[in-house]
Amino acid sequence: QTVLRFSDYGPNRGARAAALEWFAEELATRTDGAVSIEFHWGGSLLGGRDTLGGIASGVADIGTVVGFFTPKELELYSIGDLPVANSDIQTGMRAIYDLSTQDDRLTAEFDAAGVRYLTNYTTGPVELICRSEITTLDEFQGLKIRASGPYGDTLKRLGAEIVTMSQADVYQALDSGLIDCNQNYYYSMRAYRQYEVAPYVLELNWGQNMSFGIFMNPASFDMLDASQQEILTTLASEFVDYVADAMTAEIDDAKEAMVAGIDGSSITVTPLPEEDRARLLEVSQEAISDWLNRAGDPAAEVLDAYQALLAAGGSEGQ
Amino acid sequence: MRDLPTEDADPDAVSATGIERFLARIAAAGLFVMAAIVTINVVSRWLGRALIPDDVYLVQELMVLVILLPLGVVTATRQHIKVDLFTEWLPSRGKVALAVLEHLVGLFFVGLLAWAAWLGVRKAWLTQDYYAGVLDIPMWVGHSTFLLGIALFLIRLVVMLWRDLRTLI
Amino acid sequence: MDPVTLTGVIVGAVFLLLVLRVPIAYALGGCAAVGLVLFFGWRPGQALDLARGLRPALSLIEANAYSFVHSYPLSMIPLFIGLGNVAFHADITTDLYRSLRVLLRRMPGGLAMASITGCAGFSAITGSSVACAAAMGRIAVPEMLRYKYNPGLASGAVAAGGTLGSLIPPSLLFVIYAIFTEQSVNGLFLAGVVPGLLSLLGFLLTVFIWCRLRPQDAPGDDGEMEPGAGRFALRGLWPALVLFGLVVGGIYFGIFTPTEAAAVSLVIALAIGMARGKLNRENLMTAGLDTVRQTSMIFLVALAAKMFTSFISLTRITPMALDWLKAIDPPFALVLIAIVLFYLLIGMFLDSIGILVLTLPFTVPVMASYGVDLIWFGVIVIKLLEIGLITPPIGLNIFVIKSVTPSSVTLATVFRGAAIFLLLDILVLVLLLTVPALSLWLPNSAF
Ligand code: NA
Ligand code: NA
Repeated sequence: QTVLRFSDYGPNRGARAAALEWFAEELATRTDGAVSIEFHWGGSLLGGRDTLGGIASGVADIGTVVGFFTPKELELYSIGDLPVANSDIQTGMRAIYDLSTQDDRLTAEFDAAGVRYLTNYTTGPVELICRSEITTLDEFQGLKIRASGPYGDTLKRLGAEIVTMSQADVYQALDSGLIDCNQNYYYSMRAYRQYEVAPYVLELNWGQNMSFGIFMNPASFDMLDASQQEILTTLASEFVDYVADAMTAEIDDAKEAMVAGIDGSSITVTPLPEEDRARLLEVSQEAISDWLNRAGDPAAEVLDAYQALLAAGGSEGQ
Repeated sequence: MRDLPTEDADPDAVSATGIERFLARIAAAGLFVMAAIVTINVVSRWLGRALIPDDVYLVQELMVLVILLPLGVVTATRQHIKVDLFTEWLPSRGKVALAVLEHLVGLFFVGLLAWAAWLGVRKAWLTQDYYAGVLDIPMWVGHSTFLLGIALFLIRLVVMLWRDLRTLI
Repeated sequence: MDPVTLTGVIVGAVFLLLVLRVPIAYALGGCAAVGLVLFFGWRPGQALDLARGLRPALSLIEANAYSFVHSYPLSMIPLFIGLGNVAFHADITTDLYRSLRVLLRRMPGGLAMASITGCAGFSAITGSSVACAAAMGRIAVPEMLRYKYNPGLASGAVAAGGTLGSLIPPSLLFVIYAIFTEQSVNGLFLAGVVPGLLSLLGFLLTVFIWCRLRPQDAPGDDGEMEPGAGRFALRGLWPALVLFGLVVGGIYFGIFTPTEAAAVSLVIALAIGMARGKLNRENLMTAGLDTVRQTSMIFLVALAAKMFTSFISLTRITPMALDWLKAIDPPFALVLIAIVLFYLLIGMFLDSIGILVLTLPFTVPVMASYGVDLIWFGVIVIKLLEIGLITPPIGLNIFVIKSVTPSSVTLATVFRGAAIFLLLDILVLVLLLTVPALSLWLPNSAF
């Protein structure tokens, strides 16, 4: 009877928490109750920033890791946050999963950090929610946008003024006009009720944040017997599809609800024009180059491998 | 919450060294700088754009200064929060004996903290990780300040233990 | 050793060390560290392996301690403490008291009412009850004694008034409660406003009744009003009003986060003090040093408590206790009364921060399991801690008042005086317990 301690920084609510509960139930069922998971939600064991180190040292056996917190230690894995053309959830997730499990350079990075990669999450595609209607990239000039990471860098290159703040503070900032737009995902716009203060969404469908996964302590993994390890890794792979489906459903549902209106507030969605989309990806390339320069030698090959996986998954999907 | 006992509140208070007092002054300055950073950004954001980049990260770094650097003075002047109700009746020799116990427990706790802090510095240095933002502040900066504060705290505890042991024996 | 025994031993060790005068931080941190090493070193079905336990324990200690210190939201703690200290050195407190004296001079026991209202006003710009009692005690008690007030009334009024410090925002206790229960600081601050004013009303009513029954205890302030005192009165009020409006209004209307409110109001207090020539290099440094020393003390306790909470969380003792409670299934009212009595009892012996960090890991899950609004529970806990400040044998406010008043006033006098104020205060507590809307209406209506 093995109990694995799972540390998650978030509350026990929403689609991601539900997916984790599914993961735990499946694991218990498939191992006939021999392996179970005990959750420590809301950072009660380890905060988001401390989870990677905490898994490596054995404070937690498993945990949710956000790559953004350790940009150097998980430098190659932060490829998942790059604004590449991967906005199809299923394709993107499968590509980052395959890359993280099969690419030696990534595996070496995880080894060095003292952790073992299990599986992945996603935020879904990046969109822009705004106070006033924005329809083209030209209108980004001088616009105050809350954004982060390479997405923020790219928006800055397009002339926007970038503001950093936590998602929890965005509602007030949009309401008071402190910022004009916010980089966000549909489900999170709904969760933070941003549609109440910003009725326009420019649908960028631009990349995803996927440097965002589940990692395990290697010694805890080795303590399981061979068949249990097999069950765990198979389940981890299925988790990718489960999360992709769940997130797609969640995002569609959130979008639909917000367009229809919630308590009298609704959003108007404008898709980004095709020619602007091409330009967006072109400018994104500069943020990608920055990452390549920072990450040094192996990064270019990893990026090629990632692009190849995305292309393969994309064509299969269609 | 605790009131502001002045430095000579405890009759057995030991006067802090010049270095400890200097560090406490740096901490006090850090407090005002912190207030200034946040205020400047609140005001400048209303007027247009925030002037100071990565204000959240800068405040975090300053917090380490503000909290860790005065620990020497606090310990020397015996201001740590404690419950003295149950031992008020003891003769002063008994109280010194308990002070020795206090320092021993303190040394154990702070010693472990120092060890843990050292591991934190080492890791921050080895990974060269940073807080992703405009300034990309390296993580080892804050971790080193933390270790410095804890190390001086530890030394102060050894001195206190030595003094109280001498009084006792 | 199973988790239950381990937790029992560790909690017992903490209390033993506390009784033996070991600082709360050392006792909590040291015991938590031992508990963590033992917990991690003890894989079920295997022998104890201390070496294996050490690595995760150190890692968790580091993560807890450093993340707690290296924190943006928690910077509001030193900022709010700084605000109180700067306001004191800038004479904002003294002016406030003088103004209220003029305004309330016709009321029965006007000086006592001014002292209590002054405490409320100072509460609005400082985060700590004891700081309130100390500041107002130094100014107001000697003044009342000079006018031949009954010493019990004089000292009791300020001791009781001081207890408003943590209920009326800003409040350090609310910030600490918010961290350990993951509730919003905004919500808690706003929730404290009405209960704070209600408590103030209770204290004023006590003075009113007291002075009607025994007018000889509060001889009138025989009106040595200087010309222009009325205008002066208003001038003395505005700095405190501006600072309070900034914090509460700013949070209510969503203009500021609490951290921003803390920083901005500290800067404004500094500006007011300098503009009036009250702050110089020297007392500015004193205010700063007092602030960082108090901050340091508080954080050391809180980060040790964070380690202790992690240890408790790891042992899963609270889910087990909750299952046990669920099996018995006592009615909610009974549990609530038990918890209230528990806090009143422990409030007799322990310091407020200590109580909060020691008890929250146990009481909050119990309340949460009954679906209680944790913002409301926060108000109740803080109110109970405030009451503990003036109950014997350990009443921190009483000691502080005693230490700043002439030695002719005995400790027993202060306790007796404060006890009279407790009568109506208990009524306020019952009201808060039975009508949660008193606490929750304001935060729920905020923007
Ligand atoms: Na207050
Ligand atoms: Na008490």
